[in-house]
Amino acid sequence: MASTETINEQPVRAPGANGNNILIHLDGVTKVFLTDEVETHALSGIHLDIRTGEYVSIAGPSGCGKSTLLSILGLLDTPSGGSYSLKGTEVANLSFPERARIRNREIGFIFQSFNLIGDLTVFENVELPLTYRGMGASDRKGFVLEALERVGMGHRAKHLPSQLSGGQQQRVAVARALAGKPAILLADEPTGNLDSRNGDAVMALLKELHAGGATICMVTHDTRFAEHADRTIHLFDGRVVEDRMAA
Amino acid sequence: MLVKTPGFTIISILAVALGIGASTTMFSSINALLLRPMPLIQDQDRLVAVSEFFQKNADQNAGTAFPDYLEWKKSITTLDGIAAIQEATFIITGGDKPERYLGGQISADAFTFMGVQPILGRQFRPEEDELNAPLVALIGYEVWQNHFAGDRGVVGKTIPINGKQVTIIGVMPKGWRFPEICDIWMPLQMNEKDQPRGNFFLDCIGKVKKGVSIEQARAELEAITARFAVQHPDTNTGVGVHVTPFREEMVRNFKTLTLLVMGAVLFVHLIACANVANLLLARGATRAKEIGIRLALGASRRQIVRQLLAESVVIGMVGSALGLLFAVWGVDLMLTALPNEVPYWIHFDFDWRVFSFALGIGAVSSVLFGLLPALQASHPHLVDALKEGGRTGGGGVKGQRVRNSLVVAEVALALVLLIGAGLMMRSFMNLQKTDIGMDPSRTLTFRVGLPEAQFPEKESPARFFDQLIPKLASLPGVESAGATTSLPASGNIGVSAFILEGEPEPKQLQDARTLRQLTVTPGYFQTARVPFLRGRDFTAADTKDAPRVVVIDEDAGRAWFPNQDPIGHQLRMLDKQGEPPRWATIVGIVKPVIYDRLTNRRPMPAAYFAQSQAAERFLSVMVRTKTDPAKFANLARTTVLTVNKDLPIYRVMTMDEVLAQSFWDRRFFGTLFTIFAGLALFLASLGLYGVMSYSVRQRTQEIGVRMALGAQTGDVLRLVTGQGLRLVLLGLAIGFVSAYFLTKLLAGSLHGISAHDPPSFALVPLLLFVVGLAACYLPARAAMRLDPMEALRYE
Ligand SMILES: Nc1ncnc2c1ncn2[C@@H]1O[C@H](COP(=O)(O)OP(=O)(O)O)[C@@H](O)[C@H]1O
Ligand SMILES: [Mg+2]
Repeated sequence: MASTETINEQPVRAPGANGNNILIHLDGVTKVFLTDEVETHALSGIHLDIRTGEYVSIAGPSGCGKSTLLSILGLLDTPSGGSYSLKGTEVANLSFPERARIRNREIGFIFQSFNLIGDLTVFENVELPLTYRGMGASDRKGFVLEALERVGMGHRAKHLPSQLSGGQQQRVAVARALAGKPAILLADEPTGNLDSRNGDAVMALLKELHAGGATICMVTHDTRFAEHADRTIHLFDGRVVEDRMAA
Repeated sequence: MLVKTPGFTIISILAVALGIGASTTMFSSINALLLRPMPLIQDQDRLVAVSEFFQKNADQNAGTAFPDYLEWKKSITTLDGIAAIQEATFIITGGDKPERYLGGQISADAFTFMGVQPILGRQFRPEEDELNAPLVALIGYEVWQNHFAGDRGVVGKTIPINGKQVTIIGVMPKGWRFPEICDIWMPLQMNEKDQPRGNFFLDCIGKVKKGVSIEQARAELEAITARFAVQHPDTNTGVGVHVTPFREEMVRNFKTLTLLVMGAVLFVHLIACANVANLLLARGATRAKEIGIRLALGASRRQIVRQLLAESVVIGMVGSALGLLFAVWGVDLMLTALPNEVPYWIHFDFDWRVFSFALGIGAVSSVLFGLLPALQASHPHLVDALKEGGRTGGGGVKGQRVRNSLVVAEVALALVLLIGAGLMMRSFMNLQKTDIGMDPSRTLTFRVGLPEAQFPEKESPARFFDQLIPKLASLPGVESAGATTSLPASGNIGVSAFILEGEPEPKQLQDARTLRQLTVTPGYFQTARVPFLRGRDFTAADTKDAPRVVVIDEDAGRAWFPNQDPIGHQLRMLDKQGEPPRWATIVGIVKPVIYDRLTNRRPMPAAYFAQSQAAERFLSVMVRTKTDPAKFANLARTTVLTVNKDLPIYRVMTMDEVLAQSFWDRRFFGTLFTIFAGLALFLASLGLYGVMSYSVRQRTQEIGVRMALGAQTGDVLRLVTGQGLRLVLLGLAIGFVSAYFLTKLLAGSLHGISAHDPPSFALVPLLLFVVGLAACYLPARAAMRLDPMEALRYE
């Protein structure tokens, strides 16, 4: 557990965020799915570095492995081969509890379908990752309100998700991802279920967060939104075929 | 649809079948005891049981005195007839070996007014009741088949019964063993000289005249009986008459418990129905989309409800059929657990009532578990249901709430039953460990006796037992032997009146001191291992001509001589009228023994007389053996025959069996209750498990999200078990309060514990809690093992 503790002791946003501080290092990561005797090579040797403070967008045709890559980055899934180090620590083959712990502290997820929990209020949804961290109630309240303020949803804390519009729900989801002050935000097509106006608003929010120093890795096939990022990675058939920094 | 989801269909049908099987099993005993007409008897709803009772002890029938019966018979106008019966041992000799039957001495017109005719020969004639009429007998079908090989020439034959030549005048129909298990009947033939007033022992049965109500008959009998008290104050003061419908009287001891167990079983069935309702609700939720499409295509709500109900009716009907099959086994199982010979009129086999019950309960249940889910499924939020991925938060909440309430109800019902079972079993264990004051291990008992007609000499009984007991005691493998009029815990004992020295005879019988009177042979106390506290046992010196001696028990000593030594004091029984008074001197004090049935105790002091001085014709012999007592039955039988070749032994039982019989009903009903409570526990935990599994499936995606947000397996476990345990705790709370009130119904059947017995009320909920925890743990473990990736993707 010593390794994870070193991760946690590091500040969430390192000073000099745009420096050479490598947050994520993937080396030859592969992912093979076995279903009904059929092998699907979702990822075939991904080499990738993401630095603290970067805003990376991943693009590519459907089925090329974008979501798979994101779940490996988010420690929801383990690679079939290769190595993955997060903040300098190898995390490819950690045990379930350790991965849960890192997800909780270092990763903030934003899903396409929002994935808010219907029985819980906005406040409770945002509070969830902090609860799993074992944070005290008064600390949690501060973190939650801060996150909700940042996404402009502070006035809706007591609402249920079903009482919100899609765009508002996704902003709450962003707040939930932010609340724990993770090392990186992972977003898988965050605008996929939104109309263009709400989609724009969410993208603007992400841009704003990035400007504030957040590290973001986002999957999107909307080229318009890909422009928001510093850097766009193109995947094709499980490989990185292009890695371009914005001008 | 039912065919397409075989797992669902099988589980629902099994649950319903279990519920219906258990209910039908119990219903067939309700049917046997309370509903089904008794065979052969005509107009049986007009039959009444009539018995005198002491107002001091009004809830117990005393039996009827012969002269009182005669006066009823003479003056009654509201009855078609009134008959008296006394059961007696009839020994048929003359064959290879003597055979003993339980017979009845019964008023000659009894079978006539009951409308039961012999299948061969003729009925008794009224004049055959007279004391000196020629002796005649009606025999039962079984006796005719077994003893006389079904010979049609048996009518007119003369056979020795109890040593007298008796002419067989007829054969009764198959299955007729009135009043319960009698096989031979002879006319009453009693006289007032032998059976004076104050001797209450006859069972009476009357038939109310057509158009007359039982109340009218009761009023007339009460008026006549009130006259007795005026005319014969010494014997009849404080004596009243009970007139009860005959059937009700016959089932008095079992009605409450049977109805209680029936109630328990209906609870079990309700739990089964709740389970099926839950399955249907869950399935309705998964079919919401299909139904939404049907509604969108223009199906009316009624059509949808009808379609869904049709499915539950199929489940209900197939469940009924299978349940009937379970009930066949259930009844067989129940019959093997009935230790006593069952009265002839109780038949557990299935008649149209049982079939209708099974079908009816199946139909009612179909609606019960089908209607709610059908209504709910037919009323989905159309837009939600049709929307792609239409499960946004609110949709399933209402359904979940109904499912949860059903599980809470199941847990509550199961708790009530389990607490009931706990109480009954603890009460049963109390009975089992009751110290009856003797050592029942390794003792064989049997009954043997010398009918007066066959052995008219007064000395014969004493002589017979004087010879028999030492012979038995000296058998190899036998430690000792003795005999007593009543066996411990058997309940075959009456109440006798007596006075102590220096006291006047009471003016009225009801004011007399009472005791349990026994006659024993030397060796009885030793064989039963009843210790002497003071004084001595009977000896050979206590002969017929020696001064009369008596041994009393400690309770007697304490009650009658609170501050003195009872030894040397005298008492006298008041039973034998006309004989010169005979005082008996107390020579010993023994520890008290319980002679009542353990389930019906009326503690009273006991006094033992010596067989040599107060000879009784029928005694129960007790033999203490060195090894398994049951193996000595044949040896005992042949030993008795060597002493007198005409005397059969009967009621051959080990003392342990006598004891078990003493509370067999409590064991029987307790076991039934426990089985049903176990079934309830099983079904309720199945229901809990089902609802939790379903909920975990519903919440898979949510659980994935939580895992993505960093939930540890422990967090998921707590999430799921927490949800389940809330239901369990709520169910336990409701069940606890209900049990607190409902167990009062059991109070009358409990021994040594209160209806609010703390251990039962504390431990049983704990048990259910643990089982509930296990039922939640399985789905929780499944939730814990979810792959977060898969879970997030789950739709
Ligand atoms: N759990 C899985 N089991 C089997 N195959 C999978 C699984 N997840 C993804 N795949 C396959 O891996 C490939 C990449 O999928 P994915 O990463 O979801 O693509 P996308 O770029 O559209 O997000 C696809 O061919 C997909 O069918
Ligand atoms: Mg994808």
